[in-house]
Amino acid sequence: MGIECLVLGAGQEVGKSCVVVSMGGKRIMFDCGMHMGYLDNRRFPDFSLISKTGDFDAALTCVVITHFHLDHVGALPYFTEVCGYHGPIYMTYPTKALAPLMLEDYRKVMVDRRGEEEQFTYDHIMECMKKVTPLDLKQTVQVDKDLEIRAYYAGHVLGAAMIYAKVGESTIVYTGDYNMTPDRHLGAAHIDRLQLDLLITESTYATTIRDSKYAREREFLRAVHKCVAGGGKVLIPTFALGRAQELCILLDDYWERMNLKVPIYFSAGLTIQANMYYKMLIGWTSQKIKDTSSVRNTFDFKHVCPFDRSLINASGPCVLFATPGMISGGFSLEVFKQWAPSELNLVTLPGYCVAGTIGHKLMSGKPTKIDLDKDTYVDVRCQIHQLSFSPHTDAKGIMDLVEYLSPKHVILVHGERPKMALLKERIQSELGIQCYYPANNEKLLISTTQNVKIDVTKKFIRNCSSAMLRNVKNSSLSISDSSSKYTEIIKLAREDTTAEGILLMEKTKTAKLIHENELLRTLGVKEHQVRFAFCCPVEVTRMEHLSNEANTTHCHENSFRKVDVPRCLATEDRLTTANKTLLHILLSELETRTECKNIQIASESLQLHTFHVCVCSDEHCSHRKKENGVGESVVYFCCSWSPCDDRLARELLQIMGRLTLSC
Amino acid sequence: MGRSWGLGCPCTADIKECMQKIQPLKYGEETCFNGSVIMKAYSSGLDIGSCNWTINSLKRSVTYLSSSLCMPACWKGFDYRSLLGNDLVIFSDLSSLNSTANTCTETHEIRNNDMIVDNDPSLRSASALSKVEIPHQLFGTDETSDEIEKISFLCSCIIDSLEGGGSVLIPVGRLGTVLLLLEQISDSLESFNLKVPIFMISPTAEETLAFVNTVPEWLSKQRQQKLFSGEALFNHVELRKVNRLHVFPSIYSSELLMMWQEPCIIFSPHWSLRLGPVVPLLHRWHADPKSLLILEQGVNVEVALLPFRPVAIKVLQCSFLSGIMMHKVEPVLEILHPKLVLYPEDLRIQDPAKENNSWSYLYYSENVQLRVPSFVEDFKACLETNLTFQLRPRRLTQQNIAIARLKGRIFLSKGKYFLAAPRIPMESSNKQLLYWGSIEPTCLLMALQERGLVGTIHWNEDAANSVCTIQITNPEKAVIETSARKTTISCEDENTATLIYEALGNLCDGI
Repeated sequence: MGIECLVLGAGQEVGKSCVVVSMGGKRIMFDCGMHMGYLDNRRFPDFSLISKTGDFDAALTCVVITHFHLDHVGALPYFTEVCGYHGPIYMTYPTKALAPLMLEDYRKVMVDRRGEEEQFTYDHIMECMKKVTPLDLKQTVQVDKDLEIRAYYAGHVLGAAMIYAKVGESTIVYTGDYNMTPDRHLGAAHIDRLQLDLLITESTYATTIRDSKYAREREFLRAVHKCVAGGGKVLIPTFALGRAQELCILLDDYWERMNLKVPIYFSAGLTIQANMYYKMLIGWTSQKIKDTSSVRNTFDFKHVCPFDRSLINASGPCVLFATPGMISGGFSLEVFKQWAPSELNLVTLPGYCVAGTIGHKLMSGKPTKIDLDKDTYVDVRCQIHQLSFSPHTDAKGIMDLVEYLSPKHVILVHGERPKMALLKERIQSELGIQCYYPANNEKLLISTTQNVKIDVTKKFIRNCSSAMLRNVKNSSLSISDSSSKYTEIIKLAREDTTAEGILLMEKTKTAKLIHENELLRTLGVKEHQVRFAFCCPVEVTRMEHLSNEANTTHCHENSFRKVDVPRCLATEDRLTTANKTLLHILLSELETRTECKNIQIASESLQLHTFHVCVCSDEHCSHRKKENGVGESVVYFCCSWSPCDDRLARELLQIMGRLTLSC
Repeated sequence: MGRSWGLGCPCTADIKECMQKIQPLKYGEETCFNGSVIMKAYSSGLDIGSCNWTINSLKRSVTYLSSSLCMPACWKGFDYRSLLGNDLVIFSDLSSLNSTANTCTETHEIRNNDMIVDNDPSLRSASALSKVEIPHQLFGTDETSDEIEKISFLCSCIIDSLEGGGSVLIPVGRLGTVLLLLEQISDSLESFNLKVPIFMISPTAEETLAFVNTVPEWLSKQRQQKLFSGEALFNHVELRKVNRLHVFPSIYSSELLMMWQEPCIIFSPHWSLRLGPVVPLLHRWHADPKSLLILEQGVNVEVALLPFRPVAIKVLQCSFLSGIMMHKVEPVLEILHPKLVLYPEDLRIQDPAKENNSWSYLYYSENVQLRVPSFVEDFKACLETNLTFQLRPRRLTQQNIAIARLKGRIFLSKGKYFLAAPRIPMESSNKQLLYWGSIEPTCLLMALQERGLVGTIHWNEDAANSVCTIQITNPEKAVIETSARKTTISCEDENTATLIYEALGNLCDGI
């Protein structure tokens, strides 16, 4: 049994996240993203690796999308409508609501502005979304009889989820993108401490440790304020959803406090509409925003208004949110072309830009000229501010999550190769967990241990419940028991209950664990008792002692534990009384020599676990060693024991052989 | 699903404190109590957040079935699929207790001198219609269409009153009903082109309306579709934007007085007609035969209206489905397929139990303890791999069975027992401790000879069980007595004893 991982995207890179996991006969696709940096067939995951024949319905059990970013959902309409996957698709409520906006926005940008051939149509998006089953957080969803999935809050963007999947005993978590610290509108990722075979985690910031984000927020606000105060225009290229709302909350709040009147624009109807979604989905935001929502919904922005194309070249300062985020085309590129040549203006860039986008070019160094294509270029004189707050977790967050979940294996995806290598080393050396970071289209087989399902009888369980008590008692059975050992055993017993029983395995049935006492009845057989026996001679020196007898008995009684001393000796046989006295003397001798306080005395025998001793008066006792020269001064003690106490018995016999009892 | 309660209530602090102790759950979210009991809630459809439970302990699997609605208009419907496969169903839908005779809408015709006698034939027809036997179909649209019909009938009565110049007072009962009525009434007003204001007067109205518009996960599929197509979940958002619906915390707000106009429609607590803004409003309208009061089933109208005599206002009492209808209990149980159903004694007379059920019934009543038999013979457990590797199975001679001693840790996690290898390796001995069957003395003697022990067999017939003695003379002396049920090895020399014991172990089944 094992888990097979096929990384179709985001292997040693950021973009087109897509991992196909096979376990227990089920096959799950996590995310179905597109790569923003490519326009050729590298844009989509290579779905042919899932099924050569293209019968994806047979090849996959379900598709689960973690969040609405295009590098996680961008290829989904293509996969369902063009490639023809018709099986179940799961995503959270916000993702189902917001993903079509992202997809349609992207499609428009590609087709309208770049004039490209479209990979999927608007109808494709709508048809695709109809097939989606929405998920709520923490809800256990039974995809089929054997596969269950569960979504956990991931922060990052509205509706982002980490996905837990379980087939039989195999369990994995695929994190998608997540954020371990809360931001302006979202809470921090939150997951139960699950027992996992495998954790597949993003690693965008595999080596970065971030400081407080408030300082970075202040820096951003100062830059924006300075620009508009100087009469400049601020272009904030963002994705329509997520970062836009977070920055809006930040700016709206700042405008209110500073009493600023400069207009804040949203580029298209899209983002305004997005705000309405955010209002309905406020249950997925941070606790603070949820708590205040009944008074005022945070997403009712006071200072934000829609933008009209004619305002691009209007005079005066303003702040504009425009899509797409990395200035890879579309409206943000259009505005960038107009505003970049003026040194008054400011362009903010997101924390991460995919290679090949203008955002990426602006980030690398300080270019003064950017080539758009062969013939056109833009002079860049404006200021550039890079937003250094990101909705991704940093290295510490990744390490914290891995340590918290302590899975048996970790796979890193969604990161840069050299950094992933460093993080892998840390995870293996610091946490002792096997870690891998496969490249795209690589297949990884992870072996898992399989638990066996068995039945356990009630009697066995009942016995275990009282086992702790017995443990403490039994632990003193060993002859050479010392007090330190004793406490150790008690401690052990408290931590876990030990279980002892017999496992019954029949060919076609579930194995059954039973208590030892149940075995014979279960098998329908009678016990055959096996015992060792030996009639042990012990030297006795007889003294006149009548006056002492009471005293001796009395003093022995003090050292007895749980001793059953018969009280009415008067009617007893004289011989029996003598035997009892002998047993008492033997007991006291054994106790002193073995330092064992657990020897019990029954009416006619001493007992230590299965070792029994009684006085033997049968001269023809078959357990006696037939030897001559047995004097008057020898008393025979007939001992018998079960094989399990053989060692104990032999030690006791040795001691007895050396004894000289005085009575 | 915590919403703050009425402010100013002397027990607000208590309520808040109580709410803090509550662990909120989503539908389908697992919660584990004490490591052994796992509970999950699934929507029952009665109201927002209302649920049925599955409770799985080590010994039992239980479905707690409360009042459930298959296709409610606002909320997530009865999720019966998630309740399948449990042994025991505690049937606790008592809705048919209250309204067994009239499970469906009927107009309350109050024959009292002080009250009006409504002889409107349309009311009669509605009540007749609702009593038509509904086809034996559990999850069809029959219930929904029935409910829609009731609502549209109500709307037509409301329109009639408004057109006649009377106001309509709707005391607030179930939230779902209020929201549905609000939507249907505003649609009707629209289609009749009536410009009548709708007021909602309640200290919690504002918060409640805002709240229901932010919980798509708890709503019906149709409502959720609104989210996905970018519309508000309920149309009250739109109604307020266009000033058709006005919300006030109390009747004494000056804004309400400024806006006041009659006829109007008012939603307000409390359905008991004893507290809340309905009291002054009813004092205002009780003698107006043009006005209309809408009450839900379950209120004794005569008693409720006693303080407001003389009563001339029209009263329409309606009952909306509030649980599984009696004739659907059987089909529901057939789907859930339990082994045993705990059924309320009070409903026994109407209990539809048939002979051919695959389950049996036990009847419970209030304050009476009931012993419920368990269906579980054995517990389920997981044997962890590390412990499996330590097992040394032994095949038994006669049966097709292998057995092995097992020694490990046992612990309980998420309602399941786990057996794992001990943290500190335990001493494991190969010695068998338990034997069964009997020993053939000649075989034993041969086995002993293979081990270099020389001896002779002595049969002893006089004992009741024929005892046989084997005397070992070389290399050490030993005596073995063996009978059908017992073997005693007597030998001073430890090594010889061990050899004999080994020989015995090979001849006799044991563990």
